[in-house]
Amino acid sequence: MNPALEARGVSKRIDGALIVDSVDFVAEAGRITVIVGPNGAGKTTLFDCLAGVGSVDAGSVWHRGADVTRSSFDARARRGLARTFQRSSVFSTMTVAENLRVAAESHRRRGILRGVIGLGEPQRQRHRAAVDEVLDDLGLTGLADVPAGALPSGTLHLVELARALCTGPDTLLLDEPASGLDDTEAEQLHQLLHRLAARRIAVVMIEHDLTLVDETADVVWVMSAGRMIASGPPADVLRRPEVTALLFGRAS
Amino acid sequence: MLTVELALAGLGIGSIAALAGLGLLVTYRLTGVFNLAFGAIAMATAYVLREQVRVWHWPVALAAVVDLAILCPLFGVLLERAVFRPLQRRAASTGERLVASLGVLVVLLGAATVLWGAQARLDAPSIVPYRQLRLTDQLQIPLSTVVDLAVIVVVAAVLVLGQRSRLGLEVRAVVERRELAELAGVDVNRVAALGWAIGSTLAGVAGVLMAPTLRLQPYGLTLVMLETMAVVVVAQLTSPVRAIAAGLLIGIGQAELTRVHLQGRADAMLDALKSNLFVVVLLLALLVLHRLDESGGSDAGTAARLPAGGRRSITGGWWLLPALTLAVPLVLNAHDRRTALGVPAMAIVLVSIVVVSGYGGQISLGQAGFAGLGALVAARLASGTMPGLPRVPGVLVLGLVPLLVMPVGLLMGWPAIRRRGLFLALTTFAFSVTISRFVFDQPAITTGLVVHPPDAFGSDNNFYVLELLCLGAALALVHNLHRGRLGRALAAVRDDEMGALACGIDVRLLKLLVFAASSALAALGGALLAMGSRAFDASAFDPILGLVWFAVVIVFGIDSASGAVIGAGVLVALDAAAPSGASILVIGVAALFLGRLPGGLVHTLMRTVERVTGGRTGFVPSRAPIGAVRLSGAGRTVARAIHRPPSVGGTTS
Repeated sequence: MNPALEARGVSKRIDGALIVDSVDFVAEAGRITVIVGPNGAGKTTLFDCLAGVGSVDAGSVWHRGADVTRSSFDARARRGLARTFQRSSVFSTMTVAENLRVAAESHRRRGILRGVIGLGEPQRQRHRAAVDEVLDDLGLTGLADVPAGALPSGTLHLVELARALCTGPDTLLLDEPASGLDDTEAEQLHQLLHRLAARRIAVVMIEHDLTLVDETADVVWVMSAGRMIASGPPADVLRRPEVTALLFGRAS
Repeated sequence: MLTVELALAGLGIGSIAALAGLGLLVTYRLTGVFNLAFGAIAMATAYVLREQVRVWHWPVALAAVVDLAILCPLFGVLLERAVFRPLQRRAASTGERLVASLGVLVVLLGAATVLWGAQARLDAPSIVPYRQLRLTDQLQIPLSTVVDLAVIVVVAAVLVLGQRSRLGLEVRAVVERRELAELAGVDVNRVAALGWAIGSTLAGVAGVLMAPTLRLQPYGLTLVMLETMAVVVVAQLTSPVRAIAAGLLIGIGQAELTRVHLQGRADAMLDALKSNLFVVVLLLALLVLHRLDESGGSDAGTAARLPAGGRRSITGGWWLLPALTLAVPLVLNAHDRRTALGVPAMAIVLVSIVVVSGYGGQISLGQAGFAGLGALVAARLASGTMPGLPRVPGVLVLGLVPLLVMPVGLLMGWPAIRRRGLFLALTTFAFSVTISRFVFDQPAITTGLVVHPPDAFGSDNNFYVLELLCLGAALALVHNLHRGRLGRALAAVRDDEMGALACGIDVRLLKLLVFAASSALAALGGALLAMGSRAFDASAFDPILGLVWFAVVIVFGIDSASGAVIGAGVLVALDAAAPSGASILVIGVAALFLGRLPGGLVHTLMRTVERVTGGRTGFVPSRAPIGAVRLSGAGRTVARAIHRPPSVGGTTS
């Protein structure tokens, strides 16, 4: 079976500097795959390459066996490859529920012309049910009618994750989803991620808190200076000397 | 003539353009405002000088000194204090500042038209005596050109030498990073005032120098001056040296082109090019350049954000206002009803701006181009002179016009995909000026075009009904763009484009859709305007009017279709009842006070009535009670921010 998401020799330059250097990367459905690495290692840039925010300079990106290297960000989102941002991108003038609804009804392009001539929205009930389910799943039901612009940043990350879920993804790219959350919320988030993985969703995330990584990840990839230097189960990878040297600044 | 001679001749216009561009550039770098009003400041200064010299019989030198050394700088400082400092203080978006400068432009246009009339005057005094200086045996150069060049050298020298002074250092700090400069104790307001003073003085100088070479006319001179912003765009809003070079080169290029001649129709196009090289360069530069070096780059994501009324809908009895506006003409006498024919047509044009700018979040200053194309195509279709198409009967014309103009709208929507804010606004304006210069101003294309309402709708009454039907169809389309799935997707794009893409929204397709719909609407409105007045009139679709219409829409509520209908009524009524130019003056003044009318007139009116009546009139939805606690002013602001009433614009649509 094809992996959910795969990068083959992906490179990306920004202003001439090689930020991502011929990276090979695989994420499987039903697994939580975590990318770790020091600041400036190129993790977020790799995410951009995988999600289609900007183009790659070399290599290819494969989503469920199809080459999506030339697909745009929104086209990949419609295929089921969703991503969140480190800096929240929620729609601040809308309520939380409206944010989710936009995602629920936009991940299929069909119907734009029908919208122009004013034919109804046949799947309205289904969209609403999907939104309610995700709100419930993330414990956001109480905030459904709150304008998103009024929320603290930790909650915004949850809203953004909820919005990504409303696009019906099979692959989720989460950029530091736990930042800004307190311990209880972070714990709930990780339980949620396990539930998602159990639904055969491939969860890929960038995370700094190595304790959480150790507890949550099925597979860990270590990135340094634009290259992947190790990958495997967290118990093995996080104890390798070159990885601890990189992440803790000392050789043990 | 010799190449060198032509080059010298071209230097005249080139150096004036360079001066105007320098002024625009200095204001932009020092204040962060792209001062669209500079064209109108130039025009107004030329008019004032003419008044002093021709009517009051002042000596030219005295008038020039008073205008350029006192009035212009003062006006600049006044603008900074009264209009732009409040915007600066509340960190208004690029879009809002652009709108404010548009307001100044519209005020000056209106004032000039009220005071001096819209007709052209040929007696603009020249501040430089007409004389030829002999360079060699064969070469002569007009004294005015020498003066123009000397002024450029002086200005450039002041700019360069001034950098070393203490003030110059502060200026450079502001240009580099405004916020940091402010933190470092630099008096940002003083620097901004300086920027405005220099900018409006240079605009005045350019206007006074330009006027004698042209006819003095409010719209015409303003437009010519605005075209010189080509040099600033070529300079990517940064380099003064490049701006000067661009001005001189385009001027020379324009003069050299006069030597080239072609055969037949191509020659007519070449003639247009000869007098409009600035427009062509402006459009090409905007299309070719990937980015402008906009100041305050952090604003880039919100650059298009305009003062909008939010997502609250017009509810309950408020629909009566636009409906009444449209019903009034039915009780008017025959003459006034003929005037009122313009209302629904103008309403459709204004609604087209609501669609692209209010719903789509894309500033479009080019709607006059589409409206004019609609009128032109309608006239040609009805008379059977549209190339490749047979004579089209009656009502069919109105169905065909939007379809034929829509591809042009798509063409303009294409560059809009990657551009936003100021860059996009300038591109749309350049587009409209190009259409005006190369299509509407070509006698071969537009002379003697008459257009009649469809036969069955010949009488004014019947035609008015037809217009109302068209407006109804337009409003239904617009409703679909505002409500439901599309409306939410567009709101998402306005809020955060990256987030919209992440949701799988095809932002590119949506933007194209918005531009296509908007251009189709504008074309329909333009066609109706022409039918109502029985002829195609290029001056009814002057690019400057595109700016005025945008200001009207902003004033009545950028995201309010009913506001656009009321705005059209007010505009047409004022035009008919008050002296020419008064309507524009009123709109401009209102645009300047927009900061006090958040969301535009209609939304402000709704809020006011709501406040006075406590929301219990049945006119407006009652507000959710905040609670029995007595709140201070600040407390009320906080409470409003938290309890934004979920009942309006909520999740139920």
